[in-house]
Amino acid sequence: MFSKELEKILLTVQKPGRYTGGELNSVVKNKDDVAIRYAFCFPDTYEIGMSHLGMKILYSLANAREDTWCERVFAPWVDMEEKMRQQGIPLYALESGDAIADFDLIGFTLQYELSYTNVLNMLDLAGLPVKAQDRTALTPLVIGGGSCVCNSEPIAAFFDILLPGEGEEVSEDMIDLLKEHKQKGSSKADFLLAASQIQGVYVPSLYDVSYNEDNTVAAVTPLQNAPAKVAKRLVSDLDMMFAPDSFVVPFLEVVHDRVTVEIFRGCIRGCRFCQAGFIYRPIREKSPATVNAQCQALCESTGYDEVSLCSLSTSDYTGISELLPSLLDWTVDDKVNIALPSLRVDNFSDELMEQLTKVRRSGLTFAPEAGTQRLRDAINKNVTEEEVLNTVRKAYGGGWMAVKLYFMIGLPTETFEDIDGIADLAQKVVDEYYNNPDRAKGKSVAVAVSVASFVPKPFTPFQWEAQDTVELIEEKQRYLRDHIKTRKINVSRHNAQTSFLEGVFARGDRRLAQVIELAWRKGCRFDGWDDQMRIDLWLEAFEECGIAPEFYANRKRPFDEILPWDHMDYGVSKTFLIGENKKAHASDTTPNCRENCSGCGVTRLNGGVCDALN
Amino acid sequence: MRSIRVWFTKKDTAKYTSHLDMNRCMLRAVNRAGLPVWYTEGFNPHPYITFALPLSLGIESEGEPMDMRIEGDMENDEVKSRLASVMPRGMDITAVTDVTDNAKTICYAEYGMDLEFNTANEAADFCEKAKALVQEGSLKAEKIGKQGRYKVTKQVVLKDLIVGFTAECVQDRVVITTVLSAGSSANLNPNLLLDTLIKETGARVAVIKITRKRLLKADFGVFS
Ligand code: SF4
Repeated sequence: MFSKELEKILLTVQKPGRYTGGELNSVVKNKDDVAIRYAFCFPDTYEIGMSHLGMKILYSLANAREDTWCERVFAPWVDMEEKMRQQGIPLYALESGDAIADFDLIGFTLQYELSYTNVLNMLDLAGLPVKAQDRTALTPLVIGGGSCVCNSEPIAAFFDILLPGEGEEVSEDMIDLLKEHKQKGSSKADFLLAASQIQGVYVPSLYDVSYNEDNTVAAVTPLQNAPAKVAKRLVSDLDMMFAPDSFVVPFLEVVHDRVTVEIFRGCIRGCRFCQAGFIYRPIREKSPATVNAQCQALCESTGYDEVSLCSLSTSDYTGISELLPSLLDWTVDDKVNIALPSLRVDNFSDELMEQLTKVRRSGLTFAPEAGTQRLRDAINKNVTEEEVLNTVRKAYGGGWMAVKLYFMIGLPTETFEDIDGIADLAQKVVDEYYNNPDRAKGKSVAVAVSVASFVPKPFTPFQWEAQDTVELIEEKQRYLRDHIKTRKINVSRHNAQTSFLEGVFARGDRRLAQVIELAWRKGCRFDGWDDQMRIDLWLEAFEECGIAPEFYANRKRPFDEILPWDHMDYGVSKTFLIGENKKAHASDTTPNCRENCSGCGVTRLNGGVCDALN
Repeated sequence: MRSIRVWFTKKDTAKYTSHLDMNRCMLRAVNRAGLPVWYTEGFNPHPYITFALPLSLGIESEGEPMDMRIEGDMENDEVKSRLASVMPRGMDITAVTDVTDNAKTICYAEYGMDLEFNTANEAADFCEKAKALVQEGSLKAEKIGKQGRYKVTKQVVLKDLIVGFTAECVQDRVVITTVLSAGSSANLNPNLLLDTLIKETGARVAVIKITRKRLLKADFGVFS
């Protein structure tokens, strides 16, 4: 299957298993039997991409079609890239070993801004021009999906099509349409025109963007009947939605190496910093019976001994008390562990705690996100210190000894008092352990404090806010470190420069495409990896393009400015976001969606339905 | 509870699976097959699986033994057919047997090396030189080992570890069959032998394929 050149280099690179395919449940078809060959690309390493649930779903979904063969492609690590370029081996798909330049469809999943240079690098390794306008044939068509598509303007020039929203239904539409036009022998232009009429399909070349003298966007003008607003796609009924009955089981150890099943989409919480909490609305739950059946089927077909229930906030799942016993019914006998990530503290009931003790305990994590009640109110993270300490107390009594606390610095309205609050809260969590008579004797507590830097994101109430400068973030990081008094607390922080770049691209416009291309040509790739990130090359690229990155990251925008992503419609209305922003500045909270619907506007895209309303 | 020995191949892309990854891969296969395996006791129970002699990354095998314990009275044939249906490509179950020999009795391993050269001349040249070098018995290799916490380079005299060696040139290919010391007391990795031969002869090999054929005991009887 693989060429001699490839076989030769495989034993000279780290982890050759990243590049060989052949895993259990990977799908091999006869290429002559299919109409569409689809390369599903994840612009990061194999270990990261193989942990991504969306990719598993869409891979199975495309391969369930007889007319399509979908294969996986990951970004080769730098050692492999070097060897591939030396030997003239083009980027190939893992299942067939065939060069992806000959495929019909090349789809990228865009999960984080710092993978953008990898997209360009992969197109280039495939032997394709990176710019969409230089790829004149209908195929391979380059499409992109994932959360970054809510503002894909900085990378729009490299894509033929971007797909805002959920991919399950629109993937099928894309394959159908491409198949039809390929058979008809359509031009790329004709195909794109037809595609632009499908809901949830954004054809960037059909929009003209003009700018004001102050560099803000003047207008986004749709051309040739393209819709003025592109509404995201979403799946209404998760029980009826396609669900894979098997996952590819990697040989290598990947980041999340287990069965993962989604339990609901959307989030009732409305934390104002969290993009996922807004762009994945409305709330849609999968029934416990469906979740249970999917978990069991996947464990059987993969042999995994761990299932993870996936959502933005597991304990908000209304079916949790029905689901857990039905899972425990078979997982105990089959020696399968249940992992419950994204548990919140405030509704951590005694009953749930008791069931959890039957589940294998990993660390206990809390995300207070901010150090003081005032700031937690401003970001609408409705967790009180009392609740955190109560849960910690129960957990210590139940034998837990390691606690992980997630915070953010650089949040809008933050002062140094709020940073003191982080150190104080962590200290109280430590003290709680030593005040607890039921604690495990003779053992020490370990509190890990993870401090991320806040990056304002589109479609959140903070989309207009200025991001803290690198200098200020670093000052706050030092300040926090100096206020931690015990070795029982271990603080980890994010690279401030990485967050800065992330912020630039999150809220950037189309003029950034040239910077991304230039930085990539200078050698930037794997920018999300601290050991690969070259801020010096990035700053050079900005300079040479005459673009000030601070304009995008550190500037506060007025509410009436046209934002680069205003022609995308994720359902949540701007009026609602403005209201939330004003409440934030007044430290005023918004009740969660089950207590009270705040009229975010999203039900417009879902026939008036939101599960939190029932 | 009884011990069984599962024999499986490792071919094509499966050869890129490291020994560490093999363990996880087999645990999952056992789960999928629904075998009544015996679990270790303790905080994190897992099926007890051992491999008699680890195989280096990149080397294929015609039959690797893996031992496990099963509970109840499932027949070897049943174990075989269940496992066979859930293995990844390149890893085929060739047999499931009772455990006859203790893994410690492995003394040698037989390997096949299939080398492809760019020209027939280069192949013939390498074949002659390699045979002469092995015969002469002066081959030495450097091996990086550990002494406590420190890395040290050791000189290894290969002669003592090569028990059999034949090489045959067929057009642009050289086919080698060799029996090397294997096991915990003395062990020669076929890659080390081949690398040394390539270095000494200055040859340029286009494609290398090494396959472990079988494991042997001290009396050269086949390990089973
Ligand atoms: S429609 Fe109401 S309940 Fe549903 S997500 Fe929006 S605000 Fe929350």
